[in-house]
Amino acid sequence: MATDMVVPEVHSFEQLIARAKERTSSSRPKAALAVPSAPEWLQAFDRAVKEKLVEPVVVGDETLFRKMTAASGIELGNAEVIDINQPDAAFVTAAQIAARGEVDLIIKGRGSMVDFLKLLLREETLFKVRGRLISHIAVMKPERYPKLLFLTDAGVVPWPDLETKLALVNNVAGFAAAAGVDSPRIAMLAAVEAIYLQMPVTTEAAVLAKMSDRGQIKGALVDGPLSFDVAVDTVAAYSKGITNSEVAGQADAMVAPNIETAIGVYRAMALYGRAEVGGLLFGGRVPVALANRWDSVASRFHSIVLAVLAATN
Amino acid sequence: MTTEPVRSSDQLIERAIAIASESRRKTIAVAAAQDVDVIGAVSQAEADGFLRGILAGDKEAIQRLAGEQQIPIDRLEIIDERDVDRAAHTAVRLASEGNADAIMKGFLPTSALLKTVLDKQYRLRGKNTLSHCAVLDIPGYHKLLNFTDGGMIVRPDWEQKLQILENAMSVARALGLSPVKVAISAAVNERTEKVTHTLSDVDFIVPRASEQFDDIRIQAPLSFDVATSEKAAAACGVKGPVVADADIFLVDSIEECNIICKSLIQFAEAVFAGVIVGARVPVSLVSRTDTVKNKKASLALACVLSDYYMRTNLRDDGGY
Repeated sequence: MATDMVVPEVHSFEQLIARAKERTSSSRPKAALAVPSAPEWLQAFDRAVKEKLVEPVVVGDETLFRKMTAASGIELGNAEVIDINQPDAAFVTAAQIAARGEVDLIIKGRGSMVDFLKLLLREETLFKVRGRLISHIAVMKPERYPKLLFLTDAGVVPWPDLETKLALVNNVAGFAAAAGVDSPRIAMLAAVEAIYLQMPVTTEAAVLAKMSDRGQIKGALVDGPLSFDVAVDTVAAYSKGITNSEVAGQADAMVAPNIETAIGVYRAMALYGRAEVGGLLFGGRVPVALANRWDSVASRFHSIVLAVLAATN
Repeated sequence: MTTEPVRSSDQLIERAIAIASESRRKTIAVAAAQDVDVIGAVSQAEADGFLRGILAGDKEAIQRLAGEQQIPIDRLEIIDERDVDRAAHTAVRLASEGNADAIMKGFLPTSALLKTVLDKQYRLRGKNTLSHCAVLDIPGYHKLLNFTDGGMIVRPDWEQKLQILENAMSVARALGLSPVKVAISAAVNERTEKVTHTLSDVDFIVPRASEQFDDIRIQAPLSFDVATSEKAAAACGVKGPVVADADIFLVDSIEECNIICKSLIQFAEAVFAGVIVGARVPVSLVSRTDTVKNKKASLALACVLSDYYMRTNLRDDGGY
């Protein structure tokens, strides 16, 4: 049944990497690693530099950075370093130079996501674009799914309302297109496929699906409510009677009803789904590559690649 | 009988078979059994030797469906009742009168069956709300993980969450777990006003649960990765009795539970056993999209749970 599925030309991380390399062959985006910490980030950054994807900038404590690179045998020697030893100030500076166009993407090093967001969104950074939502987008390639799955929002919005969900849809559609997946099939995830008035998640999903039917959402096909299995499994979609959907059984992207769900799925897939993963913040002045604290070098490299694709579109 | 904890779906099925051979097979009464997946699952569990099935429903349809799919039903008892609502009452009455140990949903809406289960005349109501437990055997995780509630209560308040937890504790004890390690889910790993449910989780649920259950180790809030993975816990710097070792993952919304479980079933080859808990007998349901193994595990869970209710007199006392 999986053969019925529409698989976009770009459907693997290898292809995302190849695409990013094509885009950066003539001019490379500047990437600022804000507050270097985990050796895994330095290794992933080093790989991105070696593969000519980015020009490195480091914002943080220079002495510490030199010590870390010496210890791990990583080059990054030519990286421009903006020496700021206070982490919060380093984050603010990274956001400011990004807003001024001096760097094209940020890599978030150490620190909690909540604190980082607070610093990023401070008025004086000018990082936020008026009228645009900044959201988290995870990209996963589970071993048992033949294409990439974009998932939002596992990082910023705890319980999106209807208006915010529309912004999440637009962001994930915009980023998917930048990554090479045009007109993504977006599933509004729920626990069920039917619409129940006492379950707001289902009514809100239905509104967005109808807006999509009416052509009010550009560059995406949106359907919902859809349960996870119906969204990704044509057999499940068929047996639940969802047969006239452009999205059911073959979703490219998913909007989770809340942050707990998105985080749970993202991390469950990384830990137990043998999925390749990466993630970024999208919708600000520049994209921000992000990682789970326990992510591998490969996952962090993927995150940088995603940010490169967003920055070079 | 062995009291080794049940740690996998295979062990769950083995336990149901052991119960059948050491005492007696449990009987499941199916409401409106004219559903090919249900007939297939009950017939299979009967053949596996851990279940006796009574099919209340449209006899003609049951026989036709079984014939079409070549499902052996000659060892299953059929009570002919064409009316779906009356078939539900028949199945529930069997449980109420002690002639069935568990109830199973057939060809009728879950809500219609549960309404009948909760009908006061049958005295099957417990003191708690009904809730759903999804017991997952996730390859790569060293034990079963009970996700709850992904089926009944859309957004439980803290008192409902405590009842959902109590229901899940009965499942954990039926599986022979001691202590029972409970993680209350959140997107963060520390109590914060920014995530309001972490306040009630930490301030209300943890102290009450700790007082109520001698055998509980409970920690809140914990994200899924920290609750199940050493690597994640170490990287996030979270310590505690439940970290990387949770038996129960108590979540904050029906969507969270349902969607995470289905992602694990779909892409991580997790085997799933589901049951509705909170009445004096377990209520089992299987769906068309369940694999043969999932259906078998779900029925095995209903058997193991009903045996626990029997042994601990919860069935009569109405503890759950």
